[in-house]
This record gives sequence, structure tokens and C-alpha cells, in this order.
Amino acid sequence: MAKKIMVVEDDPMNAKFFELTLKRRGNFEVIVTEDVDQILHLVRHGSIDMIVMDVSLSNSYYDGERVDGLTLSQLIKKHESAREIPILLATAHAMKGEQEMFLKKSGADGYLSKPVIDPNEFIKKVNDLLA
Amino acid sequence: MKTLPLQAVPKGHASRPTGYSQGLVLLVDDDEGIREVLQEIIQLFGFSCKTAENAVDSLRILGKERFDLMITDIKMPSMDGMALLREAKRKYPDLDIIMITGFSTDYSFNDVVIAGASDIITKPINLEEIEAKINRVIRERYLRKELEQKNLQLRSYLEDLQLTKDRLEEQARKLVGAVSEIEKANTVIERQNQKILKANWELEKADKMKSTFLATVSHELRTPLNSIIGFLGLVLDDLCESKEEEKTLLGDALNSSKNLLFLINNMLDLAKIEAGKVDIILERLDLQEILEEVASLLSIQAKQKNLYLTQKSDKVPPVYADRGKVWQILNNLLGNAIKYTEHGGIEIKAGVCGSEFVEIEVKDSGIGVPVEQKKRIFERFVQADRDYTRKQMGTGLGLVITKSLVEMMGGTIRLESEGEGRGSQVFFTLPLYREEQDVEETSGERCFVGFQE
Repeated sequence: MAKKIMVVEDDPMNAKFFELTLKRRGNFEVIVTEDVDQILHLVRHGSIDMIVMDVSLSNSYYDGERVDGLTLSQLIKKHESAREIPILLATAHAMKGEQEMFLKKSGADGYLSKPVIDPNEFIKKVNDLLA
Repeated sequence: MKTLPLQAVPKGHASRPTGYSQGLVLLVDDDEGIREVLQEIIQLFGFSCKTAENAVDSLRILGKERFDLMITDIKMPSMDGMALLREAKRKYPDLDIIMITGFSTDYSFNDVVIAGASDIITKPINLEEIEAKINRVIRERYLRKELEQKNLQLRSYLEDLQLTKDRLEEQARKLVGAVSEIEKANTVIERQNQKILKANWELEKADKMKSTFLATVSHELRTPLNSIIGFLGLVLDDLCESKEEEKTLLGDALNSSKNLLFLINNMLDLAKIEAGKVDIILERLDLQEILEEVASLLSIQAKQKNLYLTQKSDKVPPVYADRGKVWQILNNLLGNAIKYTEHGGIEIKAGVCGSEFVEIEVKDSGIGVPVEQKKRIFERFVQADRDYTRKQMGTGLGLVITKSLVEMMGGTIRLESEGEGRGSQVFFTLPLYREEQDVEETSGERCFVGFQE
């Protein structure tokens, strides 16, 4: 059975890219969303195998406050039932030191910088995290 | 030889108090016998003694040497002792004079003292008395001299002290002056320190802003590149399900490329503004015409989203501004309005505002702006404390450029919005064209305007 991957991404073009790439190059099942309630529900009850998480989010709210991908990752990792789901941060924030800072702050499991130059390497990274 | 009117013989006690130098005494008496005896006695007391037999003689002798004491009989032929006393005192006020008086004189003791005598000896002469009196007069004389000396010294000390005091006061004055100079200098230094601190703080702030800017630019360029590279890759690797999908993905890649180009152009514009390298050519502009042109051009875009775009103003007076920049401003504002509006549409209005400006309003029924972001929407690199909840550039950069352009032409810009989902209104002003600007207008006024913080 195909692994189910959730893509959290606010840019529609980027979301489309991740969805198509994961489906066509990795044969994954993909759910794209930036709705926090839906995300928190799915990680507990939706048998999600992995999350590709954007860092800059413009339309995601938690308790009335805007949240970014780092905070969202923390929220997910707080849930007993969701803790084991690997999170790959996929971000265009690629300045020196940001990778380390993001991983430390979010508790996420991997980091991917945009633009994704080599899609096969991206798929390998996803598979490694799923293994 | 006359009988000496002596009562006792001196008894070897004629020593003078130690410390006095030899006094010089002039003895005046017309009686040679008395003269000789008294001279001997006085010498026995330890004083040098010269004699004179009359007043005239004595005045002559006094003129030759400095005498300490003159002892003179009061009764003498021709010029008497009183006359001598007065004359000698007149000529030598410092000279001590002891008068020897008999029982029958024309003068009282008081007369003699008033005339300046230091003492009086009455005949018959008592040797102890004469010794004591001479000694007392001499001693007092020396004490007086010493006192005068001391007085002189004191006076000189006093003068020195006065000089020192004057010098000290002068120095104190200088010190006070110097202190106030130092205080002044300190104030200046303090102020300069403040300036340096402020400049430093501003540099740090600018540095932080530059870093934030770089990070933001990097992020904004990478985002469209990701979909461009990704979509092209999918097409190239034949991963599309249909020709239609292939076309759609290529169209998406093209759109993302255009976004990227728009972004790059905006960034170059901003960089030019920042560097003060924007040429503004002010001239008489028919704003009414421009508004109509822009509206008709952008209404095509609006129609594609099923939005209306209406230009509601009529007979707007001409403005004094740069044609290209006014176009750019309107294009930016209307572009944003279309981009962020899903239902309804956009209205443009313009009218005279005060005596110097025309105000242009761009109103949309779009997503609006959250109240807390209203002020920040025209800021460049947004706050230093970065969170990742917002795309910071995109249109944001366009508004920054728009604001700079408006301000370069002497106008102002503001944004009104009731909040998210409730539309927004942007108002900006441009200076009214006035007749007297005709003179400057010949080839358009060329300004070289830097970006003002």
C-alpha cells in the first residue's frame, strides 16, 4: 500500500509541485493542506506516514494566531500518537545557520532547501525518513 | 672748674643690655667742666660720646654723623636748649634728645616733652638716673628700630602675601575658566558620544535590516524557482498524464518565471531608490487622461477575474509630476487591488485636496489588511524579529516602491482598511500644477532625489 504523505504548503505552485513530484516520482499518496485543525486531526487519525512541511505559512492559524511551519511541527510532535511521524522541513529559507536553527526549534526530522534541484534526491530523502 | 652737680660715682655697672650696638651720643653743654665729666661718664656707660659747647656747633656736628642720642642743657647762651631741641627735631626727627634742666627755667616739663624730648634730667645730676635714662632711651630706640624693621618686614610680607593672593586669585579665576571650558568640552564630548552611540545603533539596525533583506530576497527568489524547476523537470521526464497537463505545467512555470521577473524588477527598482539613483522629471501632467488610460488597460486584467474596474473622476486638474512614475504607482496599486480581490471590484477616484494637492484613491473590495499591519505595510524589510508566518515581499516591495515614488514627487500615501476581508483604500497625493511652473517646464524639471528615511 502506498505511503501517505501530507504536504503543508501555502504557495499553490509549490504545493502543486510537491504533490505531483511525490505522486509521480515516488508513488506516494498525497494530501495537501494548510489548515491547522485538519493537520492536527489527520496526524492523529489519518494514518499519515510522513509530513513535508513548509516553514513560511501565510494562511495557517492556531488559537486565532498565525503559526509557521516550525510551531506547527512542535504542535504535531506534542501529540503522543503523532510523535513518530517524520517531518521534513521544505523551505526557501536557506541562509547559513537556518537549517540547524529550524531543526532545533521545530523538532523536525529533516531539512530540504528550495528550490529542489534534484527531484530524485528529494524522493530518496523522503524514503530514508520513512524507513 | 665748677663743682660738678653729681651725687654719686658710677660703680662699674655701666654695662648696657646685650644685643645693642654701640650708641653714639652728642653731649651739649656750654660748661666745659660739666662737658668733660659727663662725657667721661657716658663713655664709661659704654657709649661713644662727642661734645659740643653750643647749639650752633651741635647742629653742625649732627649734620656730619648719625647720632642716636643728644643730651643737651636747656640753658645755654645765644640759642638755648629748647630752640636747639626744636631745630634738631625738625632736621632729625629720629634723633632721641634728653634735656637737662635746672631749677630755674622758663619751660615746664610738659613744654619740653611736647617739643619732642625723649626724657628730662633735672639738676643736680644723679648718675644712676642719668645712666638709667640713657639706657632706657637707647633701649627704646633700638626696640623702636627693631619694631620699625619688623614692621617693614611685615609690610613687605604683607605685600608679598597680597601679591601671592592676587596671583592665587588670578589662578583661581583661570582655573574656574578652565573648569568651565572643560565642562563645555565634556558636554560636547558627551553629545558626540551620544551621536556616535546613536549612529552605531543605527548602523547595527541597518546591518540587521540588510541581513533580513538578504534572507528575504533569497527566500522570495527561491520560492518561484522551486516550481519552475520542478514543473520543467516533470515535463522533461515525461511524468505528465496528458498533453493538457503538460501544457498546464509549462504555463505554471511561465507564470512563476514572470513572477520572478516582476520580483527582480521590483528589487532593482528598490535598490535604485535606496541608492538615490532615480531620475524624476516633473512636468505638467493631464491626470484625468492618465487615470483613464490606466483604468482601461487594467480593466482587461480585472475582467479576467470577473471584477469591475471603474474610473469615477471627471475633470481632474493637471498635476506637476513624473509621467512614468505616476504610471508605475497606479499600475502597482491597481495591480495589487486586482490581485487581492476575488469578488466585487475596484474604483478609482481623484479630486483636489487643499490648495496644493490632488488626492487619488484606489478602493477595492478585496481581502483588506489586518489592523496591526496597516502601518507596517509600507515598511521595507519589515521587523528585525523575524517570524515565518508571512511572505514578506511580493506585493510588499511594490508598496515600498510606490511610497518612495509618491514622496519623491512631494506627495504622501496612506492606507485605510476596516480589517481583513473588508477591502482597502489607498490614498495618495500629487502636487497640483500651477501656472508659474510653466517657466521651469520647458524641458521638464530634472530632480535627482535620494530616498528619504
